[in-house]
Amino acid sequence: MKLDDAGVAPRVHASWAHDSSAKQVCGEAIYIDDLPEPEGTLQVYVAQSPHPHARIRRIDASKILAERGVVAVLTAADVPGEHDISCIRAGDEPVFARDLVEYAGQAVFAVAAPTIDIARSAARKVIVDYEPLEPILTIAQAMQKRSFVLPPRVVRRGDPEKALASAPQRLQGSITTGGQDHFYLEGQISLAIPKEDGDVLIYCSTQNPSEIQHICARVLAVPDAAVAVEVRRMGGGFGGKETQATQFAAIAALAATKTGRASKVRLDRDDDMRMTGKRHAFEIDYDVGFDDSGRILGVKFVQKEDVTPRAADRPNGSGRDSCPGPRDTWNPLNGGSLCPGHGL
Amino acid sequence: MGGHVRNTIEFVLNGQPRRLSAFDPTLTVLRHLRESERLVGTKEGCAEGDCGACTAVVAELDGEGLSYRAVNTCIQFLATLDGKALITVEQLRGDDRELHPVQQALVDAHGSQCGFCTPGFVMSLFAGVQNAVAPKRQDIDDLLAGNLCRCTGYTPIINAATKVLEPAAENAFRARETHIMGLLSQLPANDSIKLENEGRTFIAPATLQELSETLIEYPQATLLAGGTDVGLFVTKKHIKPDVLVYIGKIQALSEIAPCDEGVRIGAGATLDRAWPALVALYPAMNEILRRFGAVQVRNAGTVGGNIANGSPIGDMPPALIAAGATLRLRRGDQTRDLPLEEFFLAYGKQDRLRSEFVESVLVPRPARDSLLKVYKVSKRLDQDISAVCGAFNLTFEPARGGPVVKDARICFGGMAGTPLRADVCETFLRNKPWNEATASAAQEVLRGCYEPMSDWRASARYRNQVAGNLLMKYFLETATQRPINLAGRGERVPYEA
Repeated sequence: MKLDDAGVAPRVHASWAHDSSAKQVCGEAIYIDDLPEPEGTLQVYVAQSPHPHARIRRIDASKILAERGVVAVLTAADVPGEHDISCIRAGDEPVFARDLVEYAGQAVFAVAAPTIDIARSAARKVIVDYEPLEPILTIAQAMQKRSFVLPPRVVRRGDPEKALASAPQRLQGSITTGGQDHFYLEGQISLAIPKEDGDVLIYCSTQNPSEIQHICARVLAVPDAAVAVEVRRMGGGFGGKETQATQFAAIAALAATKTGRASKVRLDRDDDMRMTGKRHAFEIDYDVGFDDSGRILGVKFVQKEDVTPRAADRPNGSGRDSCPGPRDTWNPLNGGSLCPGHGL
Repeated sequence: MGGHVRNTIEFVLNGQPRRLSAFDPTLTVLRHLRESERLVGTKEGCAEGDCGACTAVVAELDGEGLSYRAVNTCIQFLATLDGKALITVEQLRGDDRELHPVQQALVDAHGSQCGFCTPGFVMSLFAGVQNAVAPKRQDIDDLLAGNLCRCTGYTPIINAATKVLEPAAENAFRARETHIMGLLSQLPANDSIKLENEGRTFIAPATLQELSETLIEYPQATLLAGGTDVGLFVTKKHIKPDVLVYIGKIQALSEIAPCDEGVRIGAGATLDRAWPALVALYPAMNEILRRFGAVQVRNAGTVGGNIANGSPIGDMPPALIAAGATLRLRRGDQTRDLPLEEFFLAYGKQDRLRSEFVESVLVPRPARDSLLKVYKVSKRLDQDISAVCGAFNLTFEPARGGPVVKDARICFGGMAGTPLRADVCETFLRNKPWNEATASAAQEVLRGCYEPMSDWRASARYRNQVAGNLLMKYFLETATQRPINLAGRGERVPYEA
């Protein structure tokens, strides 16, 4: 932007190119994977559960530690601090599954090696003994088993039952919406660089660097001041890097502090789509009463949201609370249930 | 192999010569750019040739000048760059650091937001400028169909494209063409390549004869043409073939030769190059080719590869089978021809002998009074895989009371484990008057011909419903002589803004 002599933009209501645009069109805007890696940087492959619901009996990584290049294997046992990355500290989001797997694609362990190819192929040789458990895969199953991640909550105004019962016209039905992937073009990525005294610097593609700092500090059992998080820009986030970047920052930080080497977690697109997911599927039952002119007199929604079993997965707050509508005369009744499935 | 065999590859990268040996034959161009050259302007978005964030431009000597092709570097193997020039986003600025007009137009039109897809858009637009794509909305949409943007929104990007594709002003890059041509002309040509590295082998024979011999020596080899499928073995399945035999250096295989019977398309001819020849015989194939992947995929992928990989959802086989194409296979000095449909035996199984390879496909001229139509139904209009792809080729005989069906060839993709003809429906249609009653009855017969599966793209019920509907669409289009478009743009018609 050209400033005048007084350092002021010459006019308002003018259209300015944003400050990174010239760099972006030249490929000179730096994203995390574009940063020069410190010497000896390790690439970390995050291995996932193939089962939606299972008990982990045993993880045996002894074979791969002798593999060429494999530097470290990380499991739940390697977490020195609080083993929870829940942004609301609900205690239900482990960095790695401990003894119970709750969704297909849940991180179980990670392998750090000089190249991602070595890390990935070594991870295939780790023996994980799973005892598969009966999963809950649909909203219907969750409703039947009364499997809710948080207690159902009801928002009510006026007297919806009465308004519905006395309405001249009434319609009932159900709609479903599918889940969506945020599909930021740049996948989840974190590069953690160990510093002195157990400090760590994390370059992370995140919409929430402060939260990453706090949670990683808890996971590492160090003061907040020991963790610095830097993000210059993201290749898209759309909400998908608000809470979901934390896990990969934490894994990179754990690898860096354990090995003393810079460690990068960069999910490829398939792993990213399998491991993350936050725009959930909904099933919404409705019952609406209205008069002959179409004016709504009362409405009742039952919103059922297909979430993973973590309490922080609760964007249904926005879905539920924005539904009552603009008029008091709607007499809305809104019930929401978070139905944790062991999603695929 | 008879002639000289090199164990290096040579190419031009951003105006500088490169000679490489001893690298993993499955190394992709993108990884090489980012990890070895530290050219990090080119991004990985999907690593499967879908999003276009990794787009770069390949230039090759072509007559007096250079031809330019946008490609997905994420699935192209580095070794296939031999003899070519690669232009990445880093090379577009002028010597004085002035932005290339494409870059300036995107800045001016606010065509970038997060910026991650931007270098890919820049390179697709750059190729568009070099290839003199018209600044029409339809052409711009097609030019950019292989580039995905999640945040900017396409309108500013299209605005930039509209501006920059106007008969172009001189730009700094044009001065570099002579330099690139000079370097390209010094690269070795017409010799074959054999690279070996850590137990994996890459062989690029220079002649058909050498290819035949190579495949007899290495019957387990994975044949590689454009890499739009084989590339994904590596980037998605993480399977690295031990022996890759690349057919891209064999001149004879890239030929597109008109002949008395029709046109013979060599197995190595790209979809983009085969497009005009196919459309010259069958105008209706235009739509299927326009929607075949996107520019970057058509620039690399081949007609032969789309057949040889045996996919039940490739878009070329249904159209070519309906047209009555004949496949030519070669093993050593022996060739054999077979009707294309007979090549597909079962899911994942083709009638290809050990060491045999697809040499060419003969696409015959249309029969008199016949009309071929091919319809693709997919979730997205552009750059998507078919849920159902149906091709209809009926031959009519004029008669009192309206035309009678003399012959029928109907083939579907996405309805079985292979591209499959609807034999029973074809028989049903022969010698029937071509009217709505016949078409209605044939719909039910057609639906009985297939037992499609349900998957992410469509349910079995949907596929069956659509298959029958497409037959009715074909009837209505033949009866009214007008294309019926229920969604999107359908046929390629001039777009009026």
